[in-house]
Amino acid sequence: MTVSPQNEDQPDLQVRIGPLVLKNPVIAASGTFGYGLELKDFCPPDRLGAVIVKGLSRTPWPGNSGHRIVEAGGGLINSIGLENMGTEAFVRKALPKLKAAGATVGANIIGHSVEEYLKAAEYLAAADIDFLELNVSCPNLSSPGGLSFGSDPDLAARLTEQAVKYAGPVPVIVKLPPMVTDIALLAKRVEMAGAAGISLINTIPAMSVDLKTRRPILGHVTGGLSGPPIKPVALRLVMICARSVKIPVIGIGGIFTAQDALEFMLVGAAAVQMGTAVLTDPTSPLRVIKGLSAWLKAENMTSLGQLIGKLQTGPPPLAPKDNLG
Amino acid sequence: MTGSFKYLPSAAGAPSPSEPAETNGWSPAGQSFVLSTPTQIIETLVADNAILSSDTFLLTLGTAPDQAAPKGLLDFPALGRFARLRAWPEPGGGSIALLDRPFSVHRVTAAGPQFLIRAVGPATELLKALPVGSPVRLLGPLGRGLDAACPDFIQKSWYLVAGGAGLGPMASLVDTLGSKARLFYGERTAGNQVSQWWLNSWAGDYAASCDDGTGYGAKGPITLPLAEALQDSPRPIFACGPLPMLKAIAKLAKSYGVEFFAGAETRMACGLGVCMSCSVAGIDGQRLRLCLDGPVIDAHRLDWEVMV
Repeated sequence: MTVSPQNEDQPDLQVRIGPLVLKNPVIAASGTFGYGLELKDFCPPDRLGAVIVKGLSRTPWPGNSGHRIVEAGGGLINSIGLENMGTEAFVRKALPKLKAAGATVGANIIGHSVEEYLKAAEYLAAADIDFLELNVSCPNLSSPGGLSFGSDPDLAARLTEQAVKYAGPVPVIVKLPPMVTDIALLAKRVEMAGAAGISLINTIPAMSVDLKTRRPILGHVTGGLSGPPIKPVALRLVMICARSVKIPVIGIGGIFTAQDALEFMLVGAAAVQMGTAVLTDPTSPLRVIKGLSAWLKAENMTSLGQLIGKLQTGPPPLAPKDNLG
Repeated sequence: MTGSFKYLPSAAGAPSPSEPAETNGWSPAGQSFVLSTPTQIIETLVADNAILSSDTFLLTLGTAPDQAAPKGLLDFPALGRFARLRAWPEPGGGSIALLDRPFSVHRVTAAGPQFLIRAVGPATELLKALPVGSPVRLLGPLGRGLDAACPDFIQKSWYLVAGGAGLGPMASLVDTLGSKARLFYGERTAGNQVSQWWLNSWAGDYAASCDDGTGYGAKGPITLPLAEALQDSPRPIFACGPLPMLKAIAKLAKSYGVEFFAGAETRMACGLGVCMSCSVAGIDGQRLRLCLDGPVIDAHRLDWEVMV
C-alpha cells in the first residue's frame, strides 16, 4: 500500500491536543491497533495523527476466557479483558520500533487499583511516550478497575490528578465511559484535575445470548458494544463534553468514514479515534484522512478549525421572504 | 442461484508427494517454507460457488476463465493458512456483516483460492448465496500452515482429521501429501455431510463417520475410527474441527505418543494480531493468538482444559 506524501496545496489537517501537535486528527483507538506496527503494511503508523496502543497494565494481563467477540445489532461486542504484555515488555520490545517508524505514540493505561494506574503512568512517562490515555472506562473487568473509576467523578478526578503528577511533562488524556449520570460533570472534574484532553466514548456495556443453548455468547457474559450503532450516542456525549470543557475532546464511536469524523468535529471534537473500523478494514484510517482533505477542498476551507464546534443548535435564521416585519 | 457443481483442479495439478507444489508455499528444498504472496487486500470475484451439503458450500475466487486472476491469487499459499473474506460491496448495498470472516484455504485452483465454508449465520449465508461474478474482498494470506508449524511435515505420513467444516483446509494437504495422508471425515448428521461423489474426487482412501448414523460412513464420532487406526499404526495427526473434537484427539494423541497439530479456530476479528479476540490458553499460562501463532499449531502447546 503506497500513499503519496501530502502535497503543498493540501488543506491543513493539523490539530492540537494540549501541548501536542498532531499531523492530522485521525488516531488509532486503543485495542484495535495492537502495539502499533502489526498493521504497518496496511496503515503505516506515521501516517496517523497518533497511535494509541493496546491498554497497558504494569504487569502482563491474560484477559478473559471463552468467546471474546460477537457481532450484534450491527455492531461488535467484545470482552477481551485487556490482555496485554505489560508496560515493561512494551517499552522494551515494541516502543523503540514504533518510535523509529515515526509514529506519535499514546499509551492507554489500565489498573485494578490507583496504585497500579500510577505505577504504569510513571513507568511509561519515563519512556519515549508522547502522551498517556487514562482508561477509566473499560467495561470488561470483573475486579476493580476501568469503569469503576470512570463512573465516579470524585474517584476519576483523584486518579487523574495523581496520574498527571506521576506523568510529569507527558500530557494525560482521560478516556471516559458513556454510561454515567452526568457526563459534563465528569468531564469538568477531570479537566480541573489537570487532564490535557478527554476522549470518549469507550464501549457501551452490552451482551448477546444464544437462545438455543440458553447461554451468553461471550465467556465474560457481558462486554462492550462498539461500531456503527454507538455513533449517535457518542455524538451527543461528545457535544455535551465539548460545550462543558475547554480542553480538547477526542471523539470516538463508530467512525468509519470521513463524514463520520467530520460530524464529530462539527459537534466539537478536536480529533477522532477509529477502532472497530480498523478491524473491518485496516486501511480505513488512511481513507478517512484522505476524505477529510477532499472535503475541506470541496468546501473551500483551509483548516479543520473552521468546522470544529460549529454546530448550530439555535432556531434556524429566518429566510428574507418569511420576514414580514 | 449459485454456479454449476464442478470440481476445479489444483492450479499446479496434483503434485506428487516427492515434488510438493511451490504454489502451496512449500519450498522443495524441504528446509523452509516460502511465502511468495504477501498479506494483502485483493478485490476479486466469485469464480464458482457450489453447494456441497445442506449447509456447506465451496467458494472459488478468481475471475472468469478468459481473464487473468488478480495478482497473488494463483500462488496463494494454503496448507492450513486462511484468509478474511466478505461479500463487498454487499448485494443491494446492505451491511449484514460488520467484520470479515476467517476461512482456511481449501486448495488453490486454476482460477484462484477455494474455500469450503459452512453457512452458520448471516455473513456465511450471504457468501453462500453469491452468484458467480459477485465481488468479494479477500484479506490474506494469514496465519501459519502445517508447513510452518511442522517444517518436516512432508517426510511424514499423516492422519488428517476433519470434523464438519474442519474439512476446510484438507484438500491442499491431501494434494501435497498424496499417499502419505489418510483423511478421516466426521459429521453430526446426514444433512451436514458433503456429497460423497465430490469427496471421492479428491480425498483418496478416506474414512467417514456420522455421529447419528443417518449418513454414510461408520456410526459414531470420528475419533473411533481414528483410535482404531492409531492402534494399528501410530502416525502424527493434523485435525481441524470443533474444539471438543480437538480436545478428544489431543487426549488420543497423547496416549499413543504421536505428534498432533490442530487447525484450531475461535471467533476472530482482525486476523492480524491486534485485537486479541482469538487469544487462547497455552500451557504454562502463556497466551497464543491463533491468527499469528496458528491456526495450525502444535496442539500439545494448548491447555485443552482451559480451552474447552
